[in-house]
Amino acid sequence: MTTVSATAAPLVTGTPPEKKKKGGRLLKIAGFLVVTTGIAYAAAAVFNIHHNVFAAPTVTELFTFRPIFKIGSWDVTFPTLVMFGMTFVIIVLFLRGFGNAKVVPGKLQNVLEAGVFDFVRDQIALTAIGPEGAAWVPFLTAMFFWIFFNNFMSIFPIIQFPVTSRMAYPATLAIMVWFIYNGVGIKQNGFFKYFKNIMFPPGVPKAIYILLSPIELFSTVFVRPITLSVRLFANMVAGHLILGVLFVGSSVFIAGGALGKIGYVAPFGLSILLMGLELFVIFMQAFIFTILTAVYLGGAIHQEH
Amino acid sequence: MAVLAAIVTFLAQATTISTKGIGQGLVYGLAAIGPGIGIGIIFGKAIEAVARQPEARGQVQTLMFIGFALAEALALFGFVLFFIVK
Repeated sequence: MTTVSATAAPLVTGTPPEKKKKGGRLLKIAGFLVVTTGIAYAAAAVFNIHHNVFAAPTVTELFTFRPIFKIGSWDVTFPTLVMFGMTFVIIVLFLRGFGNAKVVPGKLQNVLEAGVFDFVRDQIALTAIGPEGAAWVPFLTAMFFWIFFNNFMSIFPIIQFPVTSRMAYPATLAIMVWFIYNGVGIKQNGFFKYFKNIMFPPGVPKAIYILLSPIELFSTVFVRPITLSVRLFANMVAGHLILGVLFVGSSVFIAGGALGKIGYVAPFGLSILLMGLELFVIFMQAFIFTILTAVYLGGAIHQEH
Repeated sequence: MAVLAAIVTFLAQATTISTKGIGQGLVYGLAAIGPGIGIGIIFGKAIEAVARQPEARGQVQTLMFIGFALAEALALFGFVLFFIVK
């Protein structure tokens, strides 16, 4: 035991005194709280925050919008404008990135190439569909970037509304994907053979087909678009709802006297952390939608596996 | 007997049991059990797989996220139906 302690003696003797470090940290926390309280007072004065009874925002409050103007008989609301704006941004981004494509890429082209080729082609199309996946990369790229940019509006500063939380957008995407993967399967395998391959997969004892084939048919043809759209829709609704509740709670804290203006940091800080989580969920939902599209396409193209 | 009936009718109208509330609570509560266990299993298996073979981390991570989203979707159906139940 004495030899161990002799070899384990530290080279630098003595640690800096703990008292000084602790005092510094306490001072930093106190300074932080003073700054945030000052911000709260300033915000309460500038924005006239005085409503100090908390009523959790309902779904209709958060997600319904008045029409801004009408085109024919269709209402154009705020999410519609954001969606068109994002589509325009994506088009401009890709035109500028790949417009004059050079062999040695510039900055934007480099980033977009990494996004399209390294990510969508290698991770999604080739992984899920195999070698024929390269033909589907444009479709999957458009889908991934469209969903990602429209989801991203959930945490983007001024807009702060996830466009894909209006059910029409995921539903339309899912119906489009449904037509495409069924269409590809029917075109490749013939109408009756396609459904026969779905309902009677090979390598299963014959007696189980009675139980298996309705379940398989139902799952492949009917349930897939529903789950695809509801997954994206519900994730975006849940994220927006929880951020809405926490931010409304923060404003109620700020409106609630001196203690509230100090303590609002808690729900506000939590909502900042949740925005980070929301970014992860945004990316993940776009990725999942795209890769499930690719998997369904792969399943329709290679039905025998 | 009449007093008992009076008390019961008074209590019945004073504490109305709303089946909407029970339905809403049940729909999400029961919907969250399965996916909770499923997601735990998925991530546990993924961690085990990466611990056994760290070189497979990329592929395991991709499959893990796909499995997570598929299991999470079932819990989110409950969340959506929470607002639809009446």
